[in-house]
Amino acid sequence: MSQLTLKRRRESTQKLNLFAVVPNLLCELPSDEIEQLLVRADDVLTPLGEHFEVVDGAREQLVIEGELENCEAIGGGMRSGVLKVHGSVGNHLASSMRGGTLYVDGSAKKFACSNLLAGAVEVSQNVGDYAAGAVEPNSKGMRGGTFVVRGNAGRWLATRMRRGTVVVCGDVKEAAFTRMLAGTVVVCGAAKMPLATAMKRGTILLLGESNADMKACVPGFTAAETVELSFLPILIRQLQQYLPVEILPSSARVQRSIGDRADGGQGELIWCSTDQATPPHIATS
Amino acid sequence: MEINKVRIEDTFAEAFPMTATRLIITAADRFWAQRAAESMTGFATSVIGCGCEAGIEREVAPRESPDGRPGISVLIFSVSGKQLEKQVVTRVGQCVLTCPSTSVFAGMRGEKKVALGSHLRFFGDGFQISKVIDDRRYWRVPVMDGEFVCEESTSRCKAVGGGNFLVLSESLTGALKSCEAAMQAMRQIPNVIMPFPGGVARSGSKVGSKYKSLSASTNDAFCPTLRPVTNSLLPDGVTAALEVVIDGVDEADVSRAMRVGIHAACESGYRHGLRAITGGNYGGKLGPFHFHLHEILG
Repeated sequence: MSQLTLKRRRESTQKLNLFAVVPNLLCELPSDEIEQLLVRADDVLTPLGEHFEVVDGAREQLVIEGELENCEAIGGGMRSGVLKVHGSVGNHLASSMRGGTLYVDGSAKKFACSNLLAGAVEVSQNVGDYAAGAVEPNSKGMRGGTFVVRGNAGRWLATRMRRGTVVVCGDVKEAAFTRMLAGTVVVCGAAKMPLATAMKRGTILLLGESNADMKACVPGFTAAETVELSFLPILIRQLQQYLPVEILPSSARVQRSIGDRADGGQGELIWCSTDQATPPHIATS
Repeated sequence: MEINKVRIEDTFAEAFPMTATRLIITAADRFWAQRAAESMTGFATSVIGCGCEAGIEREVAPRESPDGRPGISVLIFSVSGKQLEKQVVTRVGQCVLTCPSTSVFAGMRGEKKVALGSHLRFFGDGFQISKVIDDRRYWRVPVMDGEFVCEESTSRCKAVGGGNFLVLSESLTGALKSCEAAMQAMRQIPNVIMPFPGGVARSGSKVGSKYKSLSASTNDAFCPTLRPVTNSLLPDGVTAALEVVIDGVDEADVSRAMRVGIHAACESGYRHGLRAITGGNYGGKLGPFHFHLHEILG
């Protein structure tokens, strides 16, 4: 696919805000205007061309590459199009993103997808703390879209998350799902306590075998019971886009806890059941 | 025109605009999906007395269905979007929600929405859960066998109701055999239903009645016992007429179903006494869709 490429000119400790450096804006502009686009570097407005070399091509997708760990809010202003980032990025990845597809070949620091509204984001390595969670001035976290983390997630994942789907292929650290409002999070690795404190609603699917020890002791949650959840095959079909079939539940029969009951919550923690006596078959697409 | 010695009258069937939606009902196995679909599409032969016309369109294989389980696709037709929505919510609520192991999903996508789970969710009494997956909202309603999953809404489209053809036979047995053959072929056609019992109506009607309270009455021109006392349209020797009525998503679907049905009826119909095929119309003044038999079969 042909692309417009922005190559970071040099390493710098300056914090660059790249909120507006998105395909739906740049792909319409000629190269010289792209270079003149103003971005904040440590709160000073400077031309984008000072920081990035613009390598023009047909504008089907935008690529940003180089030393980007001090670049913040990448993808934040996206409404449509495809943005690929080669390199690890700074804070606030995809904040306020409203559409399109964003792929990061690297890690992301804190607050990734904290205010994601729509679209699809994938990070090939790890994300830091507060991913998909609420960040001032917003009272709610991620509000839509799909966010896939191929590595691990830091602390406070999905705090006050409101909607959307998060998939973490690795582990998550402490305090995940605190005050979660709704949405779906899938954790393939290990989760750590405390977990889902004051969770209101939403669905957490815990696929990691090591999580089985937690079933009886998540504070505020009912003891895990075996149930058949008819919506699970629909969710699994969606997850097949991101995860190998082998690690997904093969049955709608799972173990589930409800909570946080201390807050009147009806969130659900779902553990894949080892009770697979006569599971209904889920046809894979 | 003749097909296998069966005369095809040079006339047309007159049909009307309707609005339609499709639902996909899934269940633990085909048996329960079928029960729910049959229940839901029961008492739905005519909008005149039933509020809608509904029928089973086809089976949906597990690999095709939204949740990977066996399913049945049903079509529902009505005269207005409001009436359609009322019928859909009532029928799903009484006949699908109640049936063990079922879930129900939108079978049509479009701008004009028909409420489904957005209304039925209240049965969950506050315990229902909303889940957005791939930009579609589903409602999970807790019930005694687990949970009833229902998509928030389906969509509707403009449709065509009342496509038809009449089989005219020397005997009732012959007319039935012809219609059964027609139905077997027509059930393979997507986007259509034949809403009457077995797909066939024996009580074809005409507009108007001697009784002021009735808007329709027996189609005396095709009643064999009234041949000597009315302006009969029955050829000599014909003692039974049956009408196959078709509702379809668009004109092309209705036309295709009529063609397939008439050919199937005529294939061995003459041997069983089938003598003619004709079409039911009101002089062309009521319905905007005219299906000319010779054009369809030509």
